[in-house]
Amino acid sequence: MDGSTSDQAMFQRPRPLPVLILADVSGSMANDGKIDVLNRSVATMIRAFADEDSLRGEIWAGVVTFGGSDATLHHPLVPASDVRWDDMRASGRTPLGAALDLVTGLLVDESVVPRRAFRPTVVLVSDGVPTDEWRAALSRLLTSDKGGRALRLAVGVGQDMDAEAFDVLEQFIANPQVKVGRAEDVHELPRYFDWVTATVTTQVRSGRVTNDDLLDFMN
Amino acid sequence: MRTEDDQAIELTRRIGAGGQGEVWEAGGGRLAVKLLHSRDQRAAERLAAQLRTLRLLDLGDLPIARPLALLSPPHLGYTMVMLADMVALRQLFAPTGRTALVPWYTETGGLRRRLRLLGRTASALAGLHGRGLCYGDPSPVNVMVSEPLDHEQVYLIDVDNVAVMSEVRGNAYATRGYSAPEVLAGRLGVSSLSDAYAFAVMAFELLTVVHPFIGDKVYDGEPDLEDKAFAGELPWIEHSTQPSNRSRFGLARDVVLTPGLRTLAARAFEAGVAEPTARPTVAEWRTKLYEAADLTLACPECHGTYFGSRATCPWCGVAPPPALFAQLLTQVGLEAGKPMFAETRRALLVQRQVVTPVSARTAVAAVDELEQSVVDLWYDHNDRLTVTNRWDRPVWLVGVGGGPRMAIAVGHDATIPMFNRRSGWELHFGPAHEPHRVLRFSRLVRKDNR
Ligand SMILES: Nc1ncnc2c1ncn2[C@@H]1O[C@H](COP(=O)(O)OP(=O)(O)O)[C@@H](O)[C@H]1O
Ligand SMILES: [Mg+2]
Ligand SMILES: [Zn+2]
Repeated sequence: MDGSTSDQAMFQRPRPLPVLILADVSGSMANDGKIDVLNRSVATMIRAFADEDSLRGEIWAGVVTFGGSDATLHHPLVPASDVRWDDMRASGRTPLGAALDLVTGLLVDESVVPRRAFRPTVVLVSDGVPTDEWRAALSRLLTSDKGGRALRLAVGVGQDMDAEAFDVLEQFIANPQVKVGRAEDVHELPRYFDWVTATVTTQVRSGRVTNDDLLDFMN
Repeated sequence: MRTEDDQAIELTRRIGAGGQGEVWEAGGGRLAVKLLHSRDQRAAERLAAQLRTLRLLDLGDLPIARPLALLSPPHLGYTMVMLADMVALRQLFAPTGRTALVPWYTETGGLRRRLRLLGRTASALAGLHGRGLCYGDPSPVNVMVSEPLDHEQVYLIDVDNVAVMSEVRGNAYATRGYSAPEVLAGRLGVSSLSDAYAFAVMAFELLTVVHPFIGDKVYDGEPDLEDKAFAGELPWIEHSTQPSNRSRFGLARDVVLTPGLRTLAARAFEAGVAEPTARPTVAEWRTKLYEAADLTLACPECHGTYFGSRATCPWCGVAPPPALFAQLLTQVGLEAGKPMFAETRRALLVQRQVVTPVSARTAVAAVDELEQSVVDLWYDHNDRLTVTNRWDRPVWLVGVGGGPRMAIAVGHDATIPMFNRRSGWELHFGPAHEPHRVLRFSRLVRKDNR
């Protein structure tokens, strides 16, 4: 997509920096107001993305939810400034595997993530153990070109996160340098998303993020 | 929160946030406060020491948001003057959304304003370099410019990068696309030469609306290729001998760059990639940018501005407005009572019914940060030229071939007729017996060069 004019002179558009949120909207997310805090946190983050005004990169945001019996593309991947936020609703099971396959499909599709895009960021938010077969789906994501190279971040929310649930998130991140976020008290969730926001905006400004940069934000 | 000199500071509104910190409004809107993040105690102490040094440096009248006071611990940061009615130069770099390029370019001030804003930016950087300092991270987000189109103020912010001596440092926060290759690679620290590189990129991009290293294959390719381009491993888009990275984007280069500016860009992006000393200095850029701006006309039809060398307006195709051509000469002395002139290759255009200010840069070859007008020129419908003296000394109008000589006192004006018949009236910026500069007027005649 190039900007063109009546007399053919065109300008270059910033390179997209895709951010996909992978949000658990299972029934349990309705407890303790978790889904409300998540809605607010993600909406705030996308607004911050939209305000980020860099010549070299433009943050795009999309949301995949998993709940009920399947995964849904809640918001397609578009420039953050074009997102009209719609709240997510919690109900049903935790079909993470279906969500991972949906994400893999999006990342490999060049009409969704153009070739010129920066390395995508995928953020997984969950409050418990998946209810479907997720291992094979995760390995499909990690072995796909864009999925494997993506910066994968994850945060566990609420009191019900047990060792098994954290293990799932760790396997998703698959990078010892990056720690799983923990928001046992749901009100710690916005802070985690502030961190994600800072990490992503740093990437779009400098075009890269080093492990060192990540540490900088992990306070 | 308090400053080191124990003034209370109340932050009222967050204006901006970035990798290095946050900027807040304070002091009832008169002050801005930059709060810095730092990795650890040692980094914080280093930064505080650097800010303290910076506060003490004599930066004269340079338009730079210098630290006024440091915050006292545990906070790290400084207060500076609040820049009201200013926006980041970035706003003029590219339209957003589906806007058409040419109308947007004109609506944001067009070619002339861009040349002049860049001239002022170069001037501020040259002022730092002249004091043995370098700025560190010239980029479109670190230069603030007047928001109203009839103002041309420029201010450098983000002074935490200003360095006295260059040291090698990480590049994580350098603005992508504006780092000199040697800094990007970590071979050398920032310097006036890396400033000159970053400035060259900014100047070329602001004028042409295309980054000098983002050719089509880079634009369409993966980010890794862009990294290579920014590292100087690919030829720039207008390389004189290597056409492998040309771009289909942006405005026609010869419409927005004079031959002189194109030469500077080629020096910066060919030899200057690997050899920092081959780059033109920011002072060279300043000179060429201002001189280019002096040769622009404003289209009466589309209000776009363009170089008077063109046969028609490049933006809308309409014929140019009437104008006078004012050649700049230096009167070097008198021989047998007759003035002797040295020619310069400089000139300015005086468009009919448009006030043309002449600054000390032209009148006495002085560096004037503010580009204040010393005389205003006004060429009217009846082919008369009025000169208004706004200076602190008289100027003289001299008729054709040394004809009548008319002094214009401070605060006065004078009008000369007859541009339809004869040319050659001169405006002298000094008395006859001293060397001084002269503008010699003639009508700009249009050749219908098809
Ligand atoms: N003195 C100031 N007056 C008004 N706005 C300012 C001032 N300094 C900075 N800002 C705003 O804050 C933003 C970030 O400032 P900057 O110093 O460049 O921070 P960073 O280190 O994050 O790049 C700028 O883009 C500008 O909009
Ligand atoms: Mg900055
Ligand atoms: Zn026109």
